[in-house]
Amino acid sequence: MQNPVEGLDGRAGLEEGEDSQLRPQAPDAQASSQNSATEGDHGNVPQSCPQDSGRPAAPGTLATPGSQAAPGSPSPGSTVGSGAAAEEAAVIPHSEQATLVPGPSGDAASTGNRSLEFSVTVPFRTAVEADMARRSLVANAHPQQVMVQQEFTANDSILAVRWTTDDPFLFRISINTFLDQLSLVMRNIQRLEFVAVVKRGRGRSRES
Amino acid sequence: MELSGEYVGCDGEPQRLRVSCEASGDADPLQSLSAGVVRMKELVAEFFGTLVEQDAQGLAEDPDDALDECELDSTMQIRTL
Repeated sequence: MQNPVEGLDGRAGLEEGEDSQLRPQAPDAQASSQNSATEGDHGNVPQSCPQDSGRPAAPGTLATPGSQAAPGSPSPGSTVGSGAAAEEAAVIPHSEQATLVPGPSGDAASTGNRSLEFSVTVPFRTAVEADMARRSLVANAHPQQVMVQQEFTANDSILAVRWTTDDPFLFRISINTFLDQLSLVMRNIQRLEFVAVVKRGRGRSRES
Repeated sequence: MELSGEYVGCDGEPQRLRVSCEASGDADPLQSLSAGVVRMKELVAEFFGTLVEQDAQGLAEDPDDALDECELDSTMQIRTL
């Protein structure tokens, strides 16, 4: 009777030992792995005695691979993470350098080609005429010409116009159109002056 | 009075077109300016006509070299800066 009871107690104790070894977290597992390694080294000697009995041999063999698996998993992860961080650190300066390099026109070097520019300055007699011309020309500017950028500026009696594009052929079209419109604007200004003079003349004749 | 135009190509060097619009005697300054505009139009047509022809010839000979020249100029500008 006593023999079967003793056997059950021994098995229960061994199972509890295995569960306790498997339950700890990663750092505990590492510590336990080292301890288990040392214990294993020391245990080899005592295990020889239990091996003689034959019963504790199974838990000893099971404990060894479990303890080895636990420390292996975090170490490659940590190295991979540090490697990725190093790569990210290496990439950032390169991209920053690329974005910070100024081009000839003030843009980044990655833009490549330089835009072509053409400007015209037209000296009017008065600031009023320059402003009239600017307003008329801006209103008549063709919005379809998206490939050519136009900029109109009136500074005192000087009208300045600047075109920017990548295609010299478009320059010719845009500038010719502008000059045609400019001629028309000047003609209109002259007519306005003529009308004003005529009205003044009529006013004087009525007064007399 | 002077009607002026300035072209800046991919090499960054400016080229200027100038038309004098001096009024003679009792002539209307605006009339002189209008005549100057006509003259400027002729100069622009001549200038860009030549430029377009040169560009076309350059592309016909070797399109890649034309692009390389612009990029080379840009690179030189960057180095200069």
